[in-house]
Amino acid sequence: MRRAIRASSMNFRQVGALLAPIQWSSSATIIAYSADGRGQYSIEVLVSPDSFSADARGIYDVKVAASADARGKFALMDLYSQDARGQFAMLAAFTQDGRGVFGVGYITFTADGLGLFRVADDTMDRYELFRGVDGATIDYDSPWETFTTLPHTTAALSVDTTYAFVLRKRNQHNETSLNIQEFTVEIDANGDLVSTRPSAPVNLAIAPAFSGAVLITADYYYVPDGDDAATIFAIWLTTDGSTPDPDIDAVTDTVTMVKADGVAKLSYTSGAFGDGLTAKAIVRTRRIDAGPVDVDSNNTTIVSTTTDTDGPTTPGVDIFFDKIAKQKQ
Amino acid sequence: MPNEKTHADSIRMYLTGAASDGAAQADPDLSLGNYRSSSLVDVLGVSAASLPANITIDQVSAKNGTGSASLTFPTADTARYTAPSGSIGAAVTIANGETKIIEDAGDTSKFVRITRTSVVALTGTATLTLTDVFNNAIGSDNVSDAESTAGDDEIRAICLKNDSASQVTALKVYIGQLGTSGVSDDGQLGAAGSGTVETTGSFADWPDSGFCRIEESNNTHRETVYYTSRTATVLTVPAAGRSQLGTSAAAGNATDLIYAVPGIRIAIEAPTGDASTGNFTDKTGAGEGSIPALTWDSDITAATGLSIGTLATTEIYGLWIRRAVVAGSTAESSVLNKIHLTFEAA
Repeated sequence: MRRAIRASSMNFRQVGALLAPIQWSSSATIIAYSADGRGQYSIEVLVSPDSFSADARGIYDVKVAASADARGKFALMDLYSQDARGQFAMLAAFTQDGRGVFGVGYITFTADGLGLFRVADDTMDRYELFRGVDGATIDYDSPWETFTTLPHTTAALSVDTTYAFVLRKRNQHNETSLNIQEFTVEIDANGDLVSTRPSAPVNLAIAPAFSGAVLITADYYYVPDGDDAATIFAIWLTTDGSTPDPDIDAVTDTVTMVKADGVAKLSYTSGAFGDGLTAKAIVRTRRIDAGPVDVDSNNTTIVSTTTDTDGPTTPGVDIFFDKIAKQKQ
Repeated sequence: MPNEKTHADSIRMYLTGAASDGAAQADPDLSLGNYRSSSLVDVLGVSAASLPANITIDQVSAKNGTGSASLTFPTADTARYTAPSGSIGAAVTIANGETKIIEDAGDTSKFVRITRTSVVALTGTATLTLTDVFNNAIGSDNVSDAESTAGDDEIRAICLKNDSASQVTALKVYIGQLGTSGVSDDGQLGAAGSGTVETTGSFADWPDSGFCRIEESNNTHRETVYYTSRTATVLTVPAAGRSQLGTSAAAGNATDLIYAVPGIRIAIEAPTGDASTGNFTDKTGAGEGSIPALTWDSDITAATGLSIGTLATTEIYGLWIRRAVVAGSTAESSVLNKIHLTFEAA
């Protein structure tokens, strides 16, 4: 039997005050527009909850009310506005005030789960050889040859060509080394390998010295050349205004390197020349291979200055012991 | 002052594979169900510079993402946190012996959990470098050459636990995206076989190879495919890359929506026995290749993903992650798996 309880206002003080009429009904509709109750389960909207305001004290005081005041355990649930005191006083309310354990509710949070892994392809585990031809920039996106073991013999190289090679290693996870140090291979017109040339000198300079002489300076960093390092500075010098050409002209002079701390320094003073002459020079590093064969760096930078005889010549010095130490010019 | 196990720290991820609830099992490759382990999932790596000696970093939330964060100590007993690309959060008082979460101001889901171990005054600013973690329970192990050649299908199980003192509601889990979504308006796959997916937009921030989720314009899931390479506008899909993650091959459409996704599906499982200490399907004996009979999902939004709902305090729920490797996969040095959680907590 269905029993509907409709009340514009209700007041109850007893355990289950509102529930008692319902317990012996198979279903019931409770619509309370206002209700006050004190007691256990004083107001509970069971089937068709339309309680627009309610005040209650007790356990499970009010549920699904549009507005409610309550004191008790689980006093308020799913309310649009509410005041409450008690344990779990408010849950999922849009506005709320609360006092008690877990008085105020919830915020939305997010969390991530992240993890990495690698994918292997053993065919990617290889050496990659890149090359530049006759000074062209090396294309590291496209290896010239790939192979899996060393030593490796490349395809034939062209005559009269200079190659720059870089060898890199790629692993099975598609990661590659990033080295860029090149090694050079020069093939002459006869198809013969030109010995690896030493590096060119740097910081080349020329300046007028005493009595029309010139001072030539340069530095050579020999460590990167390793076993192919040079041992001599080779100097070409002209004072007639012409440009020295190492491929044609005989070398003017050579100076044996003194190597220390990774650098060999050149400080060369020429003989005296006339005043106001245009002096030009080129300095190369030289290694003497078995033969003997001179293997020079191939730099072509020319430096120049104007000779000047106005300065005095450097004095000679003699020192001898007598009653008085003397200097003689 | 957010204590640990509140806010975004309410839900913690644990390994599984233990013999009883909370027992020791620290190997992510053995996180294959049964009981929750005492070990947390390592979601983000952190290295700290200039950290006070009496501060221990317990964990950083994965929500931070990778990059440089800072932990500053403005007074002798307070700490403030700035997530990568974030903004400095509120000062948190932390006394000797306490563990607190220090949150970024812009997003409180980005936090660091720290413990103070002595009364020595806190001072200075620590720089935290946050990095993704390889081979945790979410990433799984590396794919060998044999597996990438033949293909592979394997699982891991983690345990979500409400470690807070109150209930967590509206807990949802879904797959994360790995790039900017787009439209396949410049080329679509046919009904079967290899092909390309092309856009007038850009795939510039997509992985070099990986999975593409294709949805119809009304967000109906059409197909997920695997692409072996890409350019800024073209994904190359081999025949073996069709019909991935439980989908079937279908011809595309110029209005299809496309998403970069990891090659994973997820499934949830309620514990057997006690809601707080029960266990899950046990694959510790059968191994990672034994797929449990669960409902696998690859959806990418909270609305369409998996809903766990409410977890009372201390309650647990299982989350399975199933990773697919396509035969002929491209070698990769770094592949990311990503999942998202949303929930309401106090």
